[in-house]
Amino acid sequence: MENNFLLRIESLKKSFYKGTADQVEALNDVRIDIREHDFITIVGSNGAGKSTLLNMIAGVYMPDSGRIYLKNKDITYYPEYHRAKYLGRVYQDPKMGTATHMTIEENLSMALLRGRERGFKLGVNKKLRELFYERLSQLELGLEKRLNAMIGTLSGGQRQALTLIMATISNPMLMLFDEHVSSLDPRTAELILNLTDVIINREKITTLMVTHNMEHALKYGNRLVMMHMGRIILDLDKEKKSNLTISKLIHLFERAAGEHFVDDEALLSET
Amino acid sequence: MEAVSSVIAISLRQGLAYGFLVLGVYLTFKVLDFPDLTVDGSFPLGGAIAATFIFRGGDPFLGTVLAVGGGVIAGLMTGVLHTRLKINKLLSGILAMVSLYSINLMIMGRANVSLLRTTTIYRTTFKFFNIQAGAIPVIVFLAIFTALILALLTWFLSTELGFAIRATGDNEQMIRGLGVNTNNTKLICLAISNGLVALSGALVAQDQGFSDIGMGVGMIIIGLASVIIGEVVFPARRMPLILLGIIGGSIIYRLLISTALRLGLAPTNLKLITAILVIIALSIPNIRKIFQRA
Amino acid sequence: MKKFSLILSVILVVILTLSLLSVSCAKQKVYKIGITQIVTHPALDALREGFKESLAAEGYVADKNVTYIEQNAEGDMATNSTIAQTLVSQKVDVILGISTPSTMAVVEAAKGTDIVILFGAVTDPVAAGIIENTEKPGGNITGINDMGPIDKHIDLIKEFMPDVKTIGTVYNAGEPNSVVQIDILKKIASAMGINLVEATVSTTADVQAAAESLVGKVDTIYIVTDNTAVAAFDAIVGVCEANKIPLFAADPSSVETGAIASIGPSYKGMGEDLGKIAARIFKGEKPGDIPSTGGSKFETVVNPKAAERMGITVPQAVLDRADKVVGE
Repeated sequence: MENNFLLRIESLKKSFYKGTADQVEALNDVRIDIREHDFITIVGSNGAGKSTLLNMIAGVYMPDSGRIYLKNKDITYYPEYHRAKYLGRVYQDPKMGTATHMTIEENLSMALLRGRERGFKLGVNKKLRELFYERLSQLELGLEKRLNAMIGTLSGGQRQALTLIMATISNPMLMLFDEHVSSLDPRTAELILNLTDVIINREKITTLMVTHNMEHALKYGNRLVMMHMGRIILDLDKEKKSNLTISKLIHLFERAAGEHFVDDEALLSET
Repeated sequence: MEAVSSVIAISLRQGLAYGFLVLGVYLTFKVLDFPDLTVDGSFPLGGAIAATFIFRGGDPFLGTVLAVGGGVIAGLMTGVLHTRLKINKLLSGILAMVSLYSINLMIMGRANVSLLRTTTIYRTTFKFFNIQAGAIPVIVFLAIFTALILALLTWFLSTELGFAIRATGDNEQMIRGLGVNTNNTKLICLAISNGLVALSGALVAQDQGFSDIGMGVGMIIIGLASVIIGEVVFPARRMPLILLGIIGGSIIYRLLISTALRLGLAPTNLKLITAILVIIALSIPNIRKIFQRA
Repeated sequence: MKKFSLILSVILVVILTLSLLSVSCAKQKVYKIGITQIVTHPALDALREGFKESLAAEGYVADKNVTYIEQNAEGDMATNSTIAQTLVSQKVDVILGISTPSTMAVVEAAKGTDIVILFGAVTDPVAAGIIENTEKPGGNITGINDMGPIDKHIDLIKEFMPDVKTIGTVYNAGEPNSVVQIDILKKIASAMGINLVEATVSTTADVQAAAESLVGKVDTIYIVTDNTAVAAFDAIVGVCEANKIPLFAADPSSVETGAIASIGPSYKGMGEDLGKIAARIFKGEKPGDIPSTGGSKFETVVNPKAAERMGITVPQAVLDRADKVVGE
């Protein structure tokens, strides 16, 4: 099967708590083709399956049925650490992307070796420090001057910025952002999102960005996907996306889903 | 004055000999975030292997190396129980420790192997350099050995692999997401740690003149108490100093015991006092939270 | 002239008195004795008390011409070593080691010094490397071993049960003292044409099951001075009473807790023997010349009620010569 998609997802299904009263169909026949250099924002109400989809792509969970192809390779059942060399991830919780009791340069060193064998070479040396200095100065947060600082001394925003650099420093094939600014204050969130946009566009990394915020979803990226109850119900390309306002987007949703869009946070972000 | 110098000498001598055990406990408990009870079994394992080998006429240096090998295998045993058979961390260590009791008995053939009339790593070394046996030469020997091991450990923890091991204890999800097989990093860390613990057992057995099946009882608590004392008394941020502080903790712990004995205080309460010390130190972060809420 | 000779005589008397005083002061040496015990236990405590009492009887009294430094490792091997090294550094004259590991630690720590080492509650000092032989230990070490007179025990059993064919025993193979005794028991039993059935355990939790495994296979059960079996002795007594199997033990204190009879070296007696040895050494004898023997005092202890519960009667001859009759 020939195709020039970076990531193809076919009929992915996943339920949790199978066979119990709490059974939930997290993914209910999800299919999507992601082209190289796509920057896709993913929105949806709570429980729509956005995070589950990302976790499935990363290998945190295995699907009940369906297939995932990365550049023609069937990675559906690859364990997490096997897929890691192709992916970069930034999580919602700033604490998750960095090692608290290690220094900035130590964290960057580990990120640089994403997916590679680790041996007995010293983890940090002069050359690497220069690379780290250069990458960190782009953030304009002063972190490049604190290579020896322990992560625990950084703020949430700084940690998230660092996680962003760590995720992209090894040139991954695919970036997964899971509501990565939703636990930051608005000013820092804005900063991180701008950085995200700059880096992705500069390195042209294929990206999936899950967000709670409709405005962000419309502002960034070249493609917008909307999920509802484990399904993708809207897939808008750049042109269609650029003409939308939030209320129009909500109308589209209600038409596609056949029900009212219920998500206060998303609605409240309409300005 | 003589009393003070002899108490210091005893503390240095035992503190350094047990120091390798404390380093091992630091590696698992603090770096890997894995409370490893194998220690109570791998410490006497080191003593058993070294003593039995020497008693049967073997070379003490080789016997000590074999002891380290035994400790490595013990650590791997615990690691396999946890990573492959998915047994929880505490239980894995306990199962290993309990199995090692029988294994140690099988190795020694009895509960106690005497080195009073054999050579030891110390006697061989002193003979070679034509030194009179005594406390100071033993201390110097152990200090040099400790310096070597500390240098080796500092280097190792600064390598790519060392980072991966440290991250496994610090943020396992993150390092897995970076493609590291954390099952393997855990195995490596447990192996190195128990190798150090067994080394300690071998050196202690040769210093005290015998290996005994009861040598390991309560070692995890002594190790933890020493680590905690080390971190509190010698707070440090860079790795070589942290490790040095850990050794310092071991020495200070033995100093406390020596002093208590010298003052005539009964050892009956030593274990209780040690346990209380560990409880206090481990709960300091939680006690702070309780006061903040109040 | 008279005045002069008076002054001279006074000076002479003073000098004489002073020199006499200094001589008797020199004779007033205070001996420093360190005692290291591995764990608190009635038998070991009794040995320690016997030692001090008998030394006092020989004229060496605490706080007069003897100072005691008494330590107890409470089962911790690291502390055991610390105690040994501390006692040596305190430059004591004599160290009494009560138990094998206590003594071994002291022997190692005292190498190169001329501290006298006495040992008690050690079953096989030669195997432990503490001394080279028992007739003339050599060096600065001697002591009393506490091996029970197993031969006397089996004779005692035969007095109760002349036709005994099979003896069962429960012990922890991890205790070297037990293994030594079991080996001796095997030799004695085989020489007498008696079968021995062994049930080994590793912890006190296994003792009951081990005892039950002997039921129906043995005529009687005999327990050596095995710490594990003795700690769970109640379980063994229960099994023997329920199945009417006579129970004997090497440790006389086990008779108080339910065994029928025993002959034992009195631990207090061994302590007293050691006190006498210490006195001999203070008077000038070389420790290495004093042979290391077993205890000199034995006690026959009988528990007739236990015998009754296990379906057997005590022979009159045994009752007549018993040192202690115990039990209710």
